[in-house]
Amino acid sequence: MTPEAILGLSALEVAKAIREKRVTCVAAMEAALARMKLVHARLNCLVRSDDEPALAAAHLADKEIARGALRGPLHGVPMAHKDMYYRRGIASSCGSKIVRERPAPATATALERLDAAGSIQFGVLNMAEFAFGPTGHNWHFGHCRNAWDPSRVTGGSSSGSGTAVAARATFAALGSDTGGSIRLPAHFCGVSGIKPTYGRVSRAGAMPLSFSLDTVGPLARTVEDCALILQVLAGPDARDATCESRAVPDYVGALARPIAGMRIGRPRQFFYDDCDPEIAAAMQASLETFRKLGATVVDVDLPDIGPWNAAGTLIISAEAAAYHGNWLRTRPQDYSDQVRGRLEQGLAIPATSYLDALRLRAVALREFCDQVLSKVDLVHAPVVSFQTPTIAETDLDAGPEVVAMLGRTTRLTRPGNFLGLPAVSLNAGFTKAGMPIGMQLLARPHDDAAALRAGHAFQRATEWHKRAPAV
Amino acid sequence: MSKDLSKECVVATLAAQGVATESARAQNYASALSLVLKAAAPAYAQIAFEEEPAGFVAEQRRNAP
Repeated sequence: MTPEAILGLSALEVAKAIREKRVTCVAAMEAALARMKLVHARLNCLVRSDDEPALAAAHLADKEIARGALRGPLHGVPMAHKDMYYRRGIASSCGSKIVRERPAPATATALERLDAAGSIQFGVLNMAEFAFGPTGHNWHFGHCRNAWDPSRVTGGSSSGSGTAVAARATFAALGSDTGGSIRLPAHFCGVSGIKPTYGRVSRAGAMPLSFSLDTVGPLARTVEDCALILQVLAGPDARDATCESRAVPDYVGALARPIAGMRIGRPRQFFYDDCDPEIAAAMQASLETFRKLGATVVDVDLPDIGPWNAAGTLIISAEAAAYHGNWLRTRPQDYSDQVRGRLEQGLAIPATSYLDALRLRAVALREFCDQVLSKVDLVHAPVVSFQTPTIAETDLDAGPEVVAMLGRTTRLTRPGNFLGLPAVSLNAGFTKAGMPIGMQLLARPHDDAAALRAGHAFQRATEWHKRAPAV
Repeated sequence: MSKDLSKECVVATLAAQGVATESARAQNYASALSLVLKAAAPAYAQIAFEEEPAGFVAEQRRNAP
């Protein structure tokens, strides 16, 4: 198989090809390493490439295959991840100047589980500084560029993950989602991603931003890949007290079930306020596809989400400010202006307002489940309501215009974080300008499988996810 | 209706935590925070006296399939 043909496979497909000895682990790794270097020159997606150890691991993985030893479902699959998942003794930059040379204290549980499943990490990817930015800008490592149009934003904070997956430079990549950081790059870069239910995947060894909202999940070319990777990542972890102990469902097996009879909710409020007509049309067309697959589309009334978004902002800001307090006092000059400004602001939030925001989450989740998710299995919505901006248009340092731009970018993703719901994001079409349009499917807490099943059914019926950018 | 945060209040609150802030920055923070605090406030009126942050995880479990 040629390198191009290997890179055209999904993670699941390349794992199968390796198991069946149609592709060697070394050939897959060489293809990914070469492709990543090629596209990095245009997209600025890579922070570090670990060629030698990755090739050595691929050689070892081939020897294991030769003697019939299979580590797991991702045996030999090359992956690069957002540079905020720690490996003991190795620096994770977290997109920052401050920790770029600090050896990590322990290896992330997510990486340990991917290692155990046989995946081979070959590099780390660009991201927003401390994952605190939704556009893909990074003033320390350079702004990340969209594989579909390098003048446009990738979305963030998992910017390198989104654009590298889109450019076929990695078969999948870990991202993280605190306010939309998996779903936004999935939307802007035209790939698939899942923000799991809060507490489903361990956060141990992942850079913290907001302990009440942080989630760990993959970006990949298909929803099927996301299901496979979530299967590997999910489950209890003694190192993360917020990690749920409930049994992990068979996400991959559940994909085979048809979605006929599934009830999909189309929100009457909030999600379509000032929505770009091309995005609204793509959403409508995707709902028609779900109808053809046998799902029932139901218009649903939502509670008032605006105050929840404000409360979510208070939680992120206060918790991030607490994490960064020491460095804000001792190294303020080492933050970019925008990130420093947003972090400092969190220091001024009254404690009772922060605690009320946390207390509100239970009230809000109860209301959303009673009023909406008791009537439908999923809520279907756009990820973003406007066309993909250029990097220059959104390259703002600080001030009120930044607050407005950031609020607008994450407006439709933050409800999923505040409510802790699982949300799958996948491509639903393209604008006339050739930029991807994503949809998100939100499900009940711990019903990640429902969102994955619907997303997979959509991709089996459509071709949008098969398009690749000409990088 | 509650009053807006003032830039003086922001400067003093940050200074109490060891962070020095220029006046223009403090004004930006005060304006942005006042907007967010006001936007969240109506929802706080729905919170029952007994509600606590850990109630969220309990609610997640109660609503799981």
